[in-house]
Amino acid sequence: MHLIDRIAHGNRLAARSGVEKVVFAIGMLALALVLPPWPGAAVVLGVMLVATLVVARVPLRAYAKLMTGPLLFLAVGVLPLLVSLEFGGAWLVSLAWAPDGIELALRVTARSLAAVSCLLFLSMSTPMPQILGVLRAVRTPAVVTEVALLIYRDIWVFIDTVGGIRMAQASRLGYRTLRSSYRSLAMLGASFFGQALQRARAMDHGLQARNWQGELHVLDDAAAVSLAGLAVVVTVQAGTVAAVLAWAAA
Amino acid sequence: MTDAVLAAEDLTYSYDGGAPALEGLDLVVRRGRRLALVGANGAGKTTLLLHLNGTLRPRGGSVWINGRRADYGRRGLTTWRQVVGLVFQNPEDQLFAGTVAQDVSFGPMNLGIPIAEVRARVDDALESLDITGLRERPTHMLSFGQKKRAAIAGAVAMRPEVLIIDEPLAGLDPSGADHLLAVLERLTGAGTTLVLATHDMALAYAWADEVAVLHGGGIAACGDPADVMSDAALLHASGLRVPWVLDVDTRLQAAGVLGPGAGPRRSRADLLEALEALRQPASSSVPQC
Repeated sequence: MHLIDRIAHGNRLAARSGVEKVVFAIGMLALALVLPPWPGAAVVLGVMLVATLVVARVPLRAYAKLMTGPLLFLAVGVLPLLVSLEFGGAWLVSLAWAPDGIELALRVTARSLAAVSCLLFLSMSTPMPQILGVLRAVRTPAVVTEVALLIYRDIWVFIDTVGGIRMAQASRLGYRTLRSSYRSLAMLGASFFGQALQRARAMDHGLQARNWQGELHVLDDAAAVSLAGLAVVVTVQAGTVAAVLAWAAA
Repeated sequence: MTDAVLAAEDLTYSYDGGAPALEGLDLVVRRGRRLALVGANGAGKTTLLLHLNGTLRPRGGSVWINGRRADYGRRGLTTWRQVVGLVFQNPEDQLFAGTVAQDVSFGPMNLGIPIAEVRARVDDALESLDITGLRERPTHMLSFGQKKRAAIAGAVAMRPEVLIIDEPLAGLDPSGADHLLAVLERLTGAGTTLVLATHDMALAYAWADEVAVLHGGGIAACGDPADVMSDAALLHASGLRVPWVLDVDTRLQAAGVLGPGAGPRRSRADLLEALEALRQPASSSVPQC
């Protein structure tokens, strides 16, 4: 979480308009799903890797680390596609390689990887406040953006709180045995809940002091959407489609 | 009493099922003055502050704003909070937005003023707290001192007549504390009435024009800092102590080292200056070479 956020605020595209990045990522995501997996998804994946690692200069190590989760998930998900169950025979049920298993698995993998690369680009190039700005601009109900904002804000407070409690417990040997670990974890949960309630009350007082009327209006000084930026986005997307079509025709 | 911008009269309050937190409390905040509200932990400081901006409603007594009895209706509270800005001890309780500038803009946006005016106020507030460089910084990536200044900027941007700050220096390092004091000086210069709630006696003694001692849910003493703070017995009973500057100054005068001086020596700097002045005649009268 800290990693994504730090990169989102520090990458080379951080200051660019959120609209450009959202249009780019969502557009490419649509292409990844619509174009044929080969070569479509492969081209999308390539473009997104270049956009994230070269253009936005996201460090490769961080990217690999964040890609690991989805990759593991994908690997587990794809395995069943490789095999098929056959009924009958000596064992009643037997496992066999599925007839189109490999091809199907490859297709799913390519498409998923391409889609994940689009979302990773968005989350690593676009700070949360910008994404919220875009959501507000497209008239997402205020309830949704406000809850998202408060969650985003409170994640950091809560990470610190939980980390603090855990450290305090560990330094008094709260995690020495499995038994004490369970007990400490339960106490952490209970105390965290209490603190969350207290925090809500304190936040309410804090907002009231600044004349909160029920909505969290703030000044949104987002970078303006530049025509040049949007033109680049659309060109890359059109180029992707053209490349895929040409490749498929050849 | 005509210059009272904010006053509390016979305030009584108790949290549900608890002993009274405030009991018959009277307090006057005079326009343009610097008031330090000193009290031990649990003396009721925060409870009082929450009454002074209308967050809590007293069980008895009343609050007066610019000579008018407080109105707890929606519109009344809106004007009230425009007049009285409150900054909480923990800046985490106040910062909610993604970036510093957005957070500071929250108060002004709620005043329903034109966007250009909001923008100007945000710029001014960031400028006067010296955090213009942190504008676009996400609030969770700030140091504690920076968070504190961002939280104060959020209140300053509403241009309150009275700014109340709970424990302004708690948790700040010495240079951060000096920095914040300079900011407060600027706010006073701009005509803002300041109230600091603190148990830092040295700060209260050095900074305030007036001191009010909060004890047992009421004001045990209030007035000129030199008068109030020389009452060691009263301070002791309130869980407080005589500020060290005053202690040392009294002892030095008793020992005949220092004279009474032009006025009370309030800070480390005043005291050092007086001691330095003792040395100077000797060194200047005997040239070394």
